[in-house]
Amino acid sequence: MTKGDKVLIGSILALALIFFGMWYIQDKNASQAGIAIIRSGGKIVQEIELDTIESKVIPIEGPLGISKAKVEKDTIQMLSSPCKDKVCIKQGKISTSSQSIVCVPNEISITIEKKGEVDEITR
Amino acid sequence: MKLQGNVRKQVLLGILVSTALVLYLIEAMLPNPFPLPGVKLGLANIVNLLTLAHFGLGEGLFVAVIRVLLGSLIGGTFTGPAFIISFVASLLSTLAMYFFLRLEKVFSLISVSIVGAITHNLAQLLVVSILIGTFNIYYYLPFLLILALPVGISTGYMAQLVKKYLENFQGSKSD
Amino acid sequence: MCSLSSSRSLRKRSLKKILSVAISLLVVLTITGCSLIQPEYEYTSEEFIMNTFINIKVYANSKEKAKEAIQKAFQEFKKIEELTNRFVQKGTAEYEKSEIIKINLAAGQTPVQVSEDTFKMLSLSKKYNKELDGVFEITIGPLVDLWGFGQDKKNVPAREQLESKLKLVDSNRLVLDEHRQTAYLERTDMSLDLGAIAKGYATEKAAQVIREYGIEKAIINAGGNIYALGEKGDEIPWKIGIQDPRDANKLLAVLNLKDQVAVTSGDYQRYFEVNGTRYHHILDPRTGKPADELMSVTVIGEDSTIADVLSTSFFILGVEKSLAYLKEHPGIEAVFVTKDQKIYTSTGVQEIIEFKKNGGYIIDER
Repeated sequence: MTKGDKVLIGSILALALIFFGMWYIQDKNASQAGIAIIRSGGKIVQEIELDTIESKVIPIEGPLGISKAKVEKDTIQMLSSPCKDKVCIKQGKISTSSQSIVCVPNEISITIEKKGEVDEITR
Repeated sequence: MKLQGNVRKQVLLGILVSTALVLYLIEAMLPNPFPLPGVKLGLANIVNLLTLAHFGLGEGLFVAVIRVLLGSLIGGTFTGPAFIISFVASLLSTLAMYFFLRLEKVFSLISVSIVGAITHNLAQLLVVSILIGTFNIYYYLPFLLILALPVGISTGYMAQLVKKYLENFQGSKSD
Repeated sequence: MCSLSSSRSLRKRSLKKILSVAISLLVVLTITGCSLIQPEYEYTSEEFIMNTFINIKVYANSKEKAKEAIQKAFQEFKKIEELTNRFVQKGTAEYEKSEIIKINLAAGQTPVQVSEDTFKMLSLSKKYNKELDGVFEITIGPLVDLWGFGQDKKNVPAREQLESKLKLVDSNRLVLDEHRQTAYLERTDMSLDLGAIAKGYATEKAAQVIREYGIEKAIINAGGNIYALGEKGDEIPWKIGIQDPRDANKLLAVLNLKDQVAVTSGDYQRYFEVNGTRYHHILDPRTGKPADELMSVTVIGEDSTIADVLSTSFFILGVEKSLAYLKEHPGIEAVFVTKDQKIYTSTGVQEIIEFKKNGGYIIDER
């Protein structure tokens, strides 16, 4: 390994740490339950207010077939998917607005937005 | 075995493409250890890296593109979203690696490989976010950077090991 | 390749080394976050002006620029407040500066020369008074005072009182002289009240100031009058909530705005209750009483002054007449909430609104 290698590895580690820090701060601010937005093929197919549901399985249709997502205790996760690598299932439960689940083969994504996320209110 | 320079090169490129393809297919059969979209070991990248280092940009792009084409044909994903994603990612990471290879006084193949891994994964995420609608790439960045390190170091190290044999096979370098 | 390096001078080599490290770092930084390269400062400030909280949020590439722009924007609000304020103590400096007080004091006696800003507001008000069948009325001062809005002496007046004051409400008897820039109220007891236009006008001026600083992204909240300057992100609109008129913690809908304003008039903003009946501050100049068809109306447009004028006027006019007006005036949209809990919108709103799942309201799409 050359000196340049070490500098590069060091700066990547530092950068990753900075991002982790920023992400942590953002996560802390976004602790309240949000709205899960489910997209299939880029189009929004469903919006679910996470804290209004105790437990529910939601089927989502994609080009490969039906993926199933499960909402439970303010979180959402992919339960089953017709895709090959199952990366989406491995991504586990998500609950805050910085997180998302993506299944590329079945063209499905789940993102979370904060509830009532507006910039200002007219009254 | 004494082959003429041009034929020798063609044979070698053929071997490189098929090796990349085999590595890619083997990896596709193994379970992916990383729970992130687009992040994988990228064994085929060893071959890309070697081709770039040994021949140059043109040959490097050739091996990368042919590998993606054949891989998607065999895997049945040709022209699908997965194909577009890996095609774009391969092109961009090959270009990024080529750029870093030119700085060989400063960086060894390990750095080149790390940069390749980061570019590859980042490009994948960008294409995915365009294809699938908006999603927060920002969230994945730290994981992506961290995971690129073991991936890059291991494939870069392997490439460095194989490079000697490749040079031996070729005898003297072609220009 | 390696043999080449030995022939190069040491200076050149170290230069190349530094350059390559710099370039590689730059590449890593660029691909990992453009925000590190192009800073965008967010600067927010809030002040209490015009009897309400004015909040200005500015995004700029330098902190100093953002701060200065915000300061100048607040100055506009203060200037317009000074010119139009009519509830200040006699003998104070503010009393002397108020041009509206001057005009009101000189009513029935002599025309008063006023500033360009005041004259603009007065002539705009007259124009909209004609255009809107007299429902937009700035000579409403005597009625506002009778009900006690503005001075916290709120009471329900007797019918005879109302009728006598109604005779004083007439924009035709406000005489404006463009050449001399003067204003004159023809009858002694007449008085102006610019409450329905001053905030909108000041917001427009403030936004102009911010634009003059080259700032393309800002948001002004003048007590619920929203000026959304530019857009939130590339192709991402500002999200402006419309408050539920009966629950301050709930939103009725969310508007997606780009370079637009949203102004709401509602019966919940200033009101008092007597024996369970709600009396609010938006008075119908034809009856002298609070307008009673709507709970709220939100006007979306490009000009804050006009949106402010129209929100008050639409509240008085009601759904049908307002929608008819909007048909002839493209570029302006409105969302109406009636007392029987129905929501009506103009046609252009449907593309920029997301309704919230909220109890009780029925959305009437036409």
